[in-house]
Amino acid sequence: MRDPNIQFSPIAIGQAISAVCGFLSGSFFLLIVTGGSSSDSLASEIDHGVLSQFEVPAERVISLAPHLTEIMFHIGAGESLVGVMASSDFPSAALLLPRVGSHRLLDLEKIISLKPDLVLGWKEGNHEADLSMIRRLGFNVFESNPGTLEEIAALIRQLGFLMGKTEIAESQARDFERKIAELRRRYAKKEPVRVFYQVWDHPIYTLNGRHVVSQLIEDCGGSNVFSELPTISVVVSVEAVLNADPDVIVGSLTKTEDSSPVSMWSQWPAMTAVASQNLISIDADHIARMGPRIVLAMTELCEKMDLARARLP
Amino acid sequence: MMRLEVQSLDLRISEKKICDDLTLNVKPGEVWSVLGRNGVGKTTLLHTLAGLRDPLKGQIKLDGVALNSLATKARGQKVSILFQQTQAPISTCAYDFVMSARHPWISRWAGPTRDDQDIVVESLSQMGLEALMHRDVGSLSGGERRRVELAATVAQNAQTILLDEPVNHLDLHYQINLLQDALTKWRAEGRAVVMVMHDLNLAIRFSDHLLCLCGDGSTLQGETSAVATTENLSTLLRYPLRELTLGDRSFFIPA
Amino acid sequence: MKSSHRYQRLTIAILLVFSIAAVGLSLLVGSVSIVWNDLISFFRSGTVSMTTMVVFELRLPRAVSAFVVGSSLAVAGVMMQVLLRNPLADPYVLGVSGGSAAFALIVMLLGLPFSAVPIAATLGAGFSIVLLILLARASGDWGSSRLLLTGIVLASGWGALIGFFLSLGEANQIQGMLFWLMGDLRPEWPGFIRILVLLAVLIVGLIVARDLDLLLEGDLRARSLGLNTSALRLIILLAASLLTAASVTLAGPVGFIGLVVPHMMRLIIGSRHRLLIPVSALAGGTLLVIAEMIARTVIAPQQLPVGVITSFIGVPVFLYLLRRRGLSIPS
Repeated sequence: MRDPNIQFSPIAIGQAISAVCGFLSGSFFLLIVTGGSSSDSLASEIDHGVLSQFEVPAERVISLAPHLTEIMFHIGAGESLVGVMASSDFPSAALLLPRVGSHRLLDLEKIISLKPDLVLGWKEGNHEADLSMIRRLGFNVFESNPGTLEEIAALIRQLGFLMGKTEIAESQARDFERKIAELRRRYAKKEPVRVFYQVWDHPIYTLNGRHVVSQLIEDCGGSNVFSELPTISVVVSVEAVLNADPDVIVGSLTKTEDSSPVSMWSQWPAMTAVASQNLISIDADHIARMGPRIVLAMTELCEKMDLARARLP
Repeated sequence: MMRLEVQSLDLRISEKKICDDLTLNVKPGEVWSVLGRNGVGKTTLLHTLAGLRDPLKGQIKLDGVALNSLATKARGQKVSILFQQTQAPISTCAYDFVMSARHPWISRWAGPTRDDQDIVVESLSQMGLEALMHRDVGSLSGGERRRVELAATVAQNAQTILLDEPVNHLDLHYQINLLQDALTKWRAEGRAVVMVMHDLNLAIRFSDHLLCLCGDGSTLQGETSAVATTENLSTLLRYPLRELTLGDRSFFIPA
Repeated sequence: MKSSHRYQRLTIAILLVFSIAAVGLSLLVGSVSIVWNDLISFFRSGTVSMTTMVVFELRLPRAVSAFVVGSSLAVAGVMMQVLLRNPLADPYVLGVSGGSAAFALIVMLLGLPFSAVPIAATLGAGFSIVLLILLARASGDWGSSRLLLTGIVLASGWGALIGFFLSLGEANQIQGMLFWLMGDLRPEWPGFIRILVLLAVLIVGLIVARDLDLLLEGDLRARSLGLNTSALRLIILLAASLLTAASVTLAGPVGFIGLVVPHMMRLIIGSRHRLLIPVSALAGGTLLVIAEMIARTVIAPQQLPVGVITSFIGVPVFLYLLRRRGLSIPS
């Protein structure tokens, strides 16, 4: 096991000085935590966490995103969790943990009462105001924002370090990477398939090339027809999709829904995807969470895309 | 020919008594003026006579028929009222404004007839407004606007005419001549006119009957020559007046 | 006289031509290019193709709906402005759209199938109208400031509920809610009832048009000339509310059409309602068809809610009207 490098950044020193001089309690050190075998590239890609006078391993952890909860259990650190978000439902043990709020509103008082020594934040899913409030209250916050498969692997390692489970984390991360590499090897070079990924039907939402879903599609040997759109999530018109005429239409299905949003396209039999019966649904919990189960989503996606590929004229 | 009868009218605004058990009989061809201090309820009385307000007690009848038993359009054909304040929206033209006074006569389905159009044009001419017929009311002077409203009253062709300060804003020439001509015509046609005039002497000059609202609910009424005495008027207006006689005319001025 | 018969007929004729042209253009414009041969073979032998499906099942129903909604909102706007004698009155000021929106959002929040939304929206609109009438009834005269205040309070109340529902929603629900709240026309037909309501109100409006003109000249005067102002006001209130309900339940609260179109038309043809009502109907319909077309094509493949476009058009037009002439209703 290699000790990760810990660096002080100049920004951090400045912040530390102002924090000491200011009226905020506690002093801050900004740490950039790197880890894993490709430390340099990871360090530059990953958002830095903020830690303060913190001793590894953490013993009382609050997770503010379902994927963070999943990773914690994945690396064997589930017993250290003292609080989770309302939407944390996997694994089933997570359902027994106290709730500290939903993505709309965090129950800060609950968080305080649980006396965590580490709070895991998700930049995209938590309000910045909430996270800085938690920091101001003197808690340690580790903030992450995985946007690619590689960043998920790095996150697994980082949490492993923070929880003193570096060995398990390393092996889980390697397993994750291996499975992804294997899927890539099998599918990425196949006959490319044009994919439309549909998030929602009223209105029709899709994702562009910057979203991890596009990476999955590419790794499965496909291309996102709307990858060039300016923002990550975009509303498109029915006609735009008709015009793009994708080979495959992919949507996600939650446990509670019985029909996927992609079923709306069945009334357009002239579309290639519909004619070839290439309307695919992926388990929403797998594909929408930046955690270890995204491998399951990728597997499901690649297999179904491959079947779709075969059905094309 | 229309007789306006008021029987035992009790009129009140909040706690203030305007008139108590008022009985009034306006015969065809008569011109009445309502006199009294500011705020004593002259306008309110006029609105009640027009059927726009309900009295506390009492009855108003037109030719023996109760006013509140008439359909609104029928009432509009029999009673017309010229309001104290200008009501016209700025973007209506004079012609349209006068035409709208024909509303009680215009059938919903047929629309304005040739007759209606002729009446409107003639009413405007009577008031000296042919040239301004298509101008927006908002672009006219105060006096011209008032004359448009008078033209509308003429066009409405009701037998009972109620006028609330009809010659406000008008030049002296119009105040005297216009009113004189209109009243003469209406008298000859047997219409009944009840006016509220701001100017005491004009009221006396043009009316053959007076109704005085004393302010405590009591009233004084009768022929002008009988009612218009220094004593009565001074008591009514709560200010000592003097009577000046010039030829066959009397004028009352503050003492 | 501002408008002679010829001018009137000419205006209506021009607007009719514009309406048809707008609908026609909307059928031809979109992400999918029309294949003319497909259309021809459809008319000849009824063969269905992508082109015919796009034109007849996407664009045509949506264009017709846009026209019906635009007309309804414009006429509702005319009536609200007469009823409340206020140039700033629009169809939504009395809270009908708020009630509709609140009920629609509940359905989205509860995760019910989207087909339930129009039903909920209708219930909400109806409930709001009844509530308004019950609360404002004591004032007697339906056009008084009490009606306006009651309506504004109701609208605020609904607004609070809407904010509440938005704060409860999940991320993907909120996107749907916001899209609906900005006014969104889906490719469906307006339905028999909505067309019937529009035609009925148009007919009633034409019948009472002269009364409406008179109403604007002042309440006392109107009454002295034989108008039953109380009854007329109630009729206008109901007519405008029904039209608003019909529009909002189909397309959500599309803004500015009801406010701006009546003023635009008054500027062109004057305030006589006998002409203003049908002209506003045509103009409102045309405008919304065009706005819908823009919403669909301006940043294709992305689609904007149509309410965004009407606001973008409406605000500068309104400012221009303000500068040019002042708003031509006495307040």
